[in-house]
Amino acid sequence: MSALRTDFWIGIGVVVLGSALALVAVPEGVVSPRNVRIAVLSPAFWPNILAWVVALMGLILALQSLRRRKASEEPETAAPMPRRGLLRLLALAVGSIAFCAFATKLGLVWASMVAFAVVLLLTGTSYRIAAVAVAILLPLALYAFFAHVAAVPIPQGMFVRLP
Amino acid sequence: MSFLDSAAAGFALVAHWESIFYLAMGVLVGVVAGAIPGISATMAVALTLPFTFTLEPIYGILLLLGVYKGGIFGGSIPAILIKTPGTPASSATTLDGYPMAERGEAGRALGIALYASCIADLISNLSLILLAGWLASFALSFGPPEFFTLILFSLTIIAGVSGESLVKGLIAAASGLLLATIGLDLVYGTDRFSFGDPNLMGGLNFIAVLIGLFALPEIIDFVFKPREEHHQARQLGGRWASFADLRRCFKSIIRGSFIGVFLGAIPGIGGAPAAFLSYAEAQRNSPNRDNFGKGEIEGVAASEAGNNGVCGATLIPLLSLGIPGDVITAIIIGAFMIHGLQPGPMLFVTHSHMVYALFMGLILSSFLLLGVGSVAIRAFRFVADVPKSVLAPSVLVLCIFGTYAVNNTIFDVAVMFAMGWLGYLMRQLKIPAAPFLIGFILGPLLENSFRQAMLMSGGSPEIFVRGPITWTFWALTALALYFIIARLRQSWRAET
Repeated sequence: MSALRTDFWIGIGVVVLGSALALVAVPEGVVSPRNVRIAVLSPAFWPNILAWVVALMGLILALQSLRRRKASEEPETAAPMPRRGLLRLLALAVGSIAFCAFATKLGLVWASMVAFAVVLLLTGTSYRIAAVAVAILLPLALYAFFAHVAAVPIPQGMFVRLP
Repeated sequence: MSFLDSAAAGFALVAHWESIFYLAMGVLVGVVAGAIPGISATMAVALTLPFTFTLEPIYGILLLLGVYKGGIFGGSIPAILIKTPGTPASSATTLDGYPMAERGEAGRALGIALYASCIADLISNLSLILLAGWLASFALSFGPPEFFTLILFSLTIIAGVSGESLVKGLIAAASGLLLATIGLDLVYGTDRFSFGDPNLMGGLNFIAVLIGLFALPEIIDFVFKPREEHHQARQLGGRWASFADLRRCFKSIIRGSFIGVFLGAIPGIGGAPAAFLSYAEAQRNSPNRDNFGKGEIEGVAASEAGNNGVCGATLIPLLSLGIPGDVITAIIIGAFMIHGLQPGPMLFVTHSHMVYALFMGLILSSFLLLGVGSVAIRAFRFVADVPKSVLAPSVLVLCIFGTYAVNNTIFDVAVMFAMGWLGYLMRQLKIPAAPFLIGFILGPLLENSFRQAMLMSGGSPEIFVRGPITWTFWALTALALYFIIARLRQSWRAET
């Protein structure tokens, strides 16, 4: 898809997002007391204005890209999407959700080591020994700093506890 | 507290080995991070921030300022040795630095870059000391309407950090402002987009948003397109920058430093334009103007003086008015807040000793940069060889621990991941992240000053034009908008 066409659809998407925020999210998500005498002091005033600004900017972006598309003779070529890259991104997204779900049960240190290993598996490396060493030592060093120097209670998990 | 009392208290605060240690450590971390292609000074400051939580405020902020200054200089090392600017501010340095390296004069180029950076940094710090107090004493008379107009004016910096498309920058900024409304309403105490979740009642954590936006997209991008880059670094060569070189470039360094100071004090301009303007001025005034772009040492000196002259000056609006001069100082504002300090005119009243301690630390940082920079130049080969396949997951682990440590909750880590994916999407769609962050930081200040002013006036908007200060800021905003619109029209005309 050409850059101008992409901008047009970004603009449309932003208009939809801004309108949805103003028409649905703000009325549903912002609690305004009934006794607000001055409208501009209402808790919903600022989010409403900003949501409409977002929608307006989206509209300007869409119109701007339409105007530019007419003026330019840019050929509209579709760039091939690397499928393997997309699969890796999907794996990373699933991994990040799993991390948030299990990090406290597994322990932040062990979960971080797993996260390190997952990224390594996804990207590959020709420095395997260095990578394994860093994957083990870095979370342990960070644990030592945050738990023992900064007194941050790092979650230990249910399996292996660190001193 | 008198000036002398404050200065003495500031000296007592900074005259500890810890201050010097953390400042030197910050400069070292910054130079190393700036020298690694793929780690920007912004990312380095963001990743260092969580390590300052347990430090005394003065040590924590000195550490971050050291990273900032070191990072800007560090960017010049790969710019000269491998033609890859470590930071955008070092782009102009490649023009003459790399041709010098190709001629076998990398050491000479790096030497003059270091001298120019240290001199410019010192001049910039002195300007900060001279101007910030004066500006802060003027800003003490500001009330909510004046602050509202000031913050509105400072939002025009978005034009400077929007990159190719101002409209996309405005979309990002409005989204950042909107995201900042999450949490309990400050006037009525009612829910705003928190849907009863206690994790959201205090709003989204600044560090989680910051790290997610600026560090994670790099990692996600690397996972999408893994590539191991091997750079061919040039040898330093036998020649180092001599006193004669410094004398020859001195005029350009001083001129570039003041250009940096002037542009740095204006919110939103940043180091790269200062470096290019300084370079262009040096070329215009130099007897060797024909050599520029072919390996002229004065070109390297001018560029580095321009971008380092910005460093101290961006702290002028930060310390005196509480508004960020660029993205890095926007992060440093967050650091001040985490340590219970609110940058702005009141800081000079309530924590004047802290301000003077920072001034002294900043002066010291210019000299530390000279020492640390000299060593870093020689050690660059090892820094450039850090494989990205090991660096990317390491940064991810740093992000996780750093974000968790803020509130000891995995919810913040989830916010960081969400912001990382949002940042990646924005990058793919060429929507800049810097306006988003600036909107997120300035949003609460803008809304609070607006609502306080409206409470004061009983809802009358006349309060926003109540005196010469508000008029001045309205005029400055109008002027900034005029230039933005003129720039837009110019680019539209060029396209059609």
